Amino acid sequence: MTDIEDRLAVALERRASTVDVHDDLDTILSRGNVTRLGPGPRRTPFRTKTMAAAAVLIIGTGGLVWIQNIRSESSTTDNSIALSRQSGSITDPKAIDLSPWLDQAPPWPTGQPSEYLVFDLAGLDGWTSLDQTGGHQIGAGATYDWFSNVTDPDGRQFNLSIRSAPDDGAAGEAVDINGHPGTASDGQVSWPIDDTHTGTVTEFGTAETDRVVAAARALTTTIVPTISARQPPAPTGVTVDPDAHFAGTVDGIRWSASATADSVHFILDDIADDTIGIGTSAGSGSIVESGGNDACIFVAGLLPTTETVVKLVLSTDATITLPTQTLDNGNDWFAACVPYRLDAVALDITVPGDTQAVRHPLQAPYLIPTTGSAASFTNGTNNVPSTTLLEVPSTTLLELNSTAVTTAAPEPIRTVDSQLGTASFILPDAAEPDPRTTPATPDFVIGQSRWLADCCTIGVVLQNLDPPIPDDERLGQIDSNDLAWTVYDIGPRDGTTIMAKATKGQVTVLVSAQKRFIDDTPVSRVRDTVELIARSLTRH
Amino acid sequence: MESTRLGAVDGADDDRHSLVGSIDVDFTRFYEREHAGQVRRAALLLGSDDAANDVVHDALTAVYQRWSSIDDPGPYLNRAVLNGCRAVGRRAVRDRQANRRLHSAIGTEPTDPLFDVLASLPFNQRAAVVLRFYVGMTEREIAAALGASPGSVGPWINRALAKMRKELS
Repeated sequence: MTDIEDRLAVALERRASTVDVHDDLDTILSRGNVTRLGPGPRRTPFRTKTMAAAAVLIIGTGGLVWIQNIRSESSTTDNSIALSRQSGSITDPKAIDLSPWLDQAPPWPTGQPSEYLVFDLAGLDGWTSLDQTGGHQIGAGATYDWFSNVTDPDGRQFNLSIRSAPDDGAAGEAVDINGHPGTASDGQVSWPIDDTHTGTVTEFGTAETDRVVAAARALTTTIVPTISARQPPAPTGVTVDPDAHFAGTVDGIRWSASATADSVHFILDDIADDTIGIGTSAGSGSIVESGGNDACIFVAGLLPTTETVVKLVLSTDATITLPTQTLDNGNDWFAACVPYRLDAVALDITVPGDTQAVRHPLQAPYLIPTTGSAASFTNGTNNVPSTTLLEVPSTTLLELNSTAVTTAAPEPIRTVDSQLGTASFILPDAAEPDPRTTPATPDFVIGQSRWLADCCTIGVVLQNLDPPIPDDERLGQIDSNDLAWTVYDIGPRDGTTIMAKATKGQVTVLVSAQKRFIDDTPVSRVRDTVELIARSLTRH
Repeated sequence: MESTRLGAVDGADDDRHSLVGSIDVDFTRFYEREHAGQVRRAALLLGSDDAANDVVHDALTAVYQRWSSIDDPGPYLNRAVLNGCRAVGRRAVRDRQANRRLHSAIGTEPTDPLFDVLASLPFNQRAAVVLRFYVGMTEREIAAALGASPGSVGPWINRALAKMRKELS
């Protein structure tokens, strides 16, 4: 080592030894909701969001589910809605109807604007928009986020966003964005569009800022009446379970929820069919939320005791006491499908003996406003609809059929089925179906399977959204069976998490493998496994 | 070298665990192994103990919220902490400088000027130096942690060291 290196090592060690480390475990366990995943005061790098979303998909899990223990201290909400919806109770777990409280409900979200400032993608000549998403968050009022992943004429991938909040002053080099003071660093630039909106442009896979600054300067804004680009859902053909533990209606649509020891199965008649895993910590209780459909947000919880009281808290502070049930296994549950426009902001959970309720803020992100209609982005040829779920022609990829379940074919061929078809592939000999509860998935996932092999955890996902992945994570290319696969290292770039992606038509296939946390398996086997599966994947 | 800075897994508090479910038990062990080391590393990057605790708290909260969905939380936490440090870097530096002025005013021991130079470095250079000379990572590991190409780490470190030599000479 040189003198300066020695001095650095000593100084860093000495400084580290004086760091005041706060024990936050109890806070995290009891108040795990402190990090809001939607709009909030802290800037979240959008590149991280997108990469995390991609990674989540790869391991076949859903991004719209939160698990939260209900052992926290009570908190309060700040709202000023003066409407007079009255508190009340629902006692029949099989007839949960919240419509009486919708009669006087304010527009959702509270104070929802009729105009949204977004970037005018038609102004970027030759660019392609891969998607457009956005929305509000329960409890966050009228604030919104809007995102679009785009590619430039050279194929570089960018994320554009607008947040309806003032620029909070990110770190970086000062740059001028058409007269506005922006900051640029690490492949990202942000600037105040006006007093109440902040624009951000991020380029994937680079720390350079020249291109993001140029892109930012080329952007113009436009006003649209809604930020939802969601298409109307296609019928699922699934109907509610008459024997479910909980059932009700939302705007005339029936729903049911069946609880098991570690999961809850929701059905929204002909719209949604979700099974969501939940921690079995009955001693402390757990709550799950699942959004992602246009009708309501599913909320369910495993309760600590039989006498626990669950109240849905509206933005007016009025409460609706929800029914609970004790299952055959002795666990106590509640479940409900809460309409967005009910403007519910929290759940109050009161355990017998406690004088104060535990408040669980509802935080399902980026819900779709129930007012307004589908996308209005029709102002350019470079706009591609975002998630066109279930709109893929049946001949697009993999000779898709109409089976709606995941099944395993005889060894060694395995399959993933979806409403849209079947993919067949070969797995390592020792692979077994993952016995863990299949997590909920975003609605653009149309089929998935998860497997456990000696080397790693394997996931095969079919979806109709092509997630952008930074170029510098690219490892190589495989052409096989009329599919062009790109192989990426999507983990910490050490070979522990490898994914192959192939897109044909509007369907993307993701094959991933993740090395286990504590494991001596050579990382090369992870990539070998992914490539084996990718090379073998065929249509039939 | 990183592992030597991590807490012991086996020393978990059984009483504490008995009160919570399996998710909490698993997460608690992960927390006890990772927490202190992550805070110290973040503090070196940010120059502020409070900011470091905040960033690591947020990252661990995110991990906890996704615990049942993450097969391998270690790399996730590393990325989350580094990204958190990157996002709050400038504000943290300002805080640190303000704190230093405050400490100086009340007569505490002046800090090593080396940290002034360190704080003035671009984030990737600063992170590369800390990960190399405190954590002991290889250049390849640093590149992985920072989401950069391996070839970029060496130049970052060289430029950082050159500036330190110049500023401290």
